[in-house]
Amino acid sequence: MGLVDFIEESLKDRFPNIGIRKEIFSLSTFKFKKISISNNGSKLKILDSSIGYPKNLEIKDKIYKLNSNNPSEIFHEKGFFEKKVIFVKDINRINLKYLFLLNPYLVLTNSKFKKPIYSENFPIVSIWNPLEDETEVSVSGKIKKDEIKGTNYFIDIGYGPYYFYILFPFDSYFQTKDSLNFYGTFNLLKEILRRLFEVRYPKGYRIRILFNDLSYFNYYGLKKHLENIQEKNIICFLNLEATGIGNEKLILKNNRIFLDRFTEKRINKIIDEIGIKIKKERLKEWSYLDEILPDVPIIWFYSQPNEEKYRLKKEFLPKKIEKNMAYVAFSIINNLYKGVIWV
Amino acid sequence: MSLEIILRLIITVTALFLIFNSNLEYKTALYALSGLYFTQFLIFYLFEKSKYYNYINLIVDISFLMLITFTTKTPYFSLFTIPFISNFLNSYKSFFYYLILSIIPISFGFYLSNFNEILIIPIFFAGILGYLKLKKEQDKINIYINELKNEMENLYIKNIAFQEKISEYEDIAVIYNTMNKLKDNKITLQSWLYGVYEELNADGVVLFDFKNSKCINIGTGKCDKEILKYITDELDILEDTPVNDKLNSKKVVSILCEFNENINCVLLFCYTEDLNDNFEKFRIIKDYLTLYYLKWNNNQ
Repeated sequence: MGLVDFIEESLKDRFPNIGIRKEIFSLSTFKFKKISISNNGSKLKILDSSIGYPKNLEIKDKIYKLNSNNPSEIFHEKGFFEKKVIFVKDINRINLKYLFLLNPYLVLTNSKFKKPIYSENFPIVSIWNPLEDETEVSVSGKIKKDEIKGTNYFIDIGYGPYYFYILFPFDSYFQTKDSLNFYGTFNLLKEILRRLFEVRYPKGYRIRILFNDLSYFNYYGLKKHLENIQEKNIICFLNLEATGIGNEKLILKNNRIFLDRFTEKRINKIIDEIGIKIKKERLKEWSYLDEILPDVPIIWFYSQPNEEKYRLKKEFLPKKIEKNMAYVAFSIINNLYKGVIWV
Repeated sequence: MSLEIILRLIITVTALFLIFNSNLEYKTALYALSGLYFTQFLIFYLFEKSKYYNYINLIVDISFLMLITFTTKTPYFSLFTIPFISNFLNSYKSFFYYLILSIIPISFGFYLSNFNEILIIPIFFAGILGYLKLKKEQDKINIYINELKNEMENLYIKNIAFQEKISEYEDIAVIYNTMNKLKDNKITLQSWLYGVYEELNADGVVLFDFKNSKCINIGTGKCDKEILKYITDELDILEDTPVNDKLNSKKVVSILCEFNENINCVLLFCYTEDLNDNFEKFRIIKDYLTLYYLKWNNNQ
């Protein structure tokens, strides 16, 4: 059973009278049909490649090894790597933000991808053999266009012209229902829904829970859904990506600042009153969430550091982590804009 | 193909064979009934997930078995109730429901044979006992798996707690690394400032460099010379002062690099709310920055 059917059936089992609405769309994206990298005549074994790069690859050049993932050193060597081939030992330890700064032609790496990488500016290819600095490689890659279908579901609670979005990004192309980060977050969302239905939900604006598909493709489902909504009607986003699996931190900024002054103050007050301690940090990995509606605040409790969240299966997850997070999320949904009059 | 369908197929084919071998007048009706039994099972199979599926199916199966035993006069056909137990081993209630219902065809078969074929009854109970033994083994394995699962969950919590601790120390190690690179002049002040701005989660950073008469700012920091009047201490957190108004931030951390009554630089970090226990890192930055100015600017 596909992930999309699993979501729909699971929601209908748990909440029999819920009204789920559906949106179907398709995305055409680029993938590498065939890459061949050879070093001094011997071919290198290719493990994985990123998606989204729209041109064919053809280069014969030396590679330059990036020795550290310290942002100061990367900034220092900014102009030097322009349009060159870079070799990074472990792609999971370096924030993609710094690679975008360098603007290379191609990035080679030794490590497998923890989660699928989408990159339009340059491709990232992971190879089996380690390479020394300044070795000659010749790369040729052909891309093919792919049509992928996606489905969004959304549920409305309450009435009003303004929207408080609860986002659940998933990906029917890459994720499975047994993976830890999907299962944990889905259970958390069902618990929040149960509390909203059985205890209380805020009045004056509409709460829309959006299950957006194809989120590993630069949040395509979310962008597609927001084409029909006016930006001035959106109050804020509560993002439940990788929430509910432990070590949650409130994300303050990635490239842009996620929370405005008013929202941040009120969230701090709510968290103090609850008594649960949550630290605030910037995002240490990379996310394309910055590009979506820069004027709308995003509240995101992201699980970091957590190296296992894309690797483990659901049997590892204890129940009490989900309960803590459901309490925090429920309090925020109900109290964040309490007393604010929406005209 | 599902095992349930195969079981029903075996029962239907045996019934057809027994009907074929008997001397009845209404054979075609019985053939039709057997076919009907199999098709109704296939139709009911669509409702497999319903709560009462197993209970209703048992009644239908047992009535078919009793019909065939009665018409073909083969008491041993009623022993086909034994394989149906596999759906009723989940609770005591369902097990007793099965037991009570399946005694009926067994005793009916026993009665049909004029109480001669007494073997039916022990075979029935022996068959059930085999399934109960299997269930016991299954329960043992389930208990072991549950214990392992508890261990997995505890280990997961410990794992992420350790990762949290490691990342705290890693942050400090990265600061040391960056400051050493600056002290050895391997990176410029501009690059260093960018790195520090990223690592300390600040909204903005301003560096007034007196030795080189320069001012560098990143993010929300501004190069406003009037701020310098209010900076007096070496390492301080400013709140509700004119500096905060000028830089438009709730908390400002000020670092003053001074040696022998010469002020070399003033470094300011702008924050909106939380500093997140970064104080150690500021101390490290102050010490190394002073060293940097001593080492490189005294040589010129």
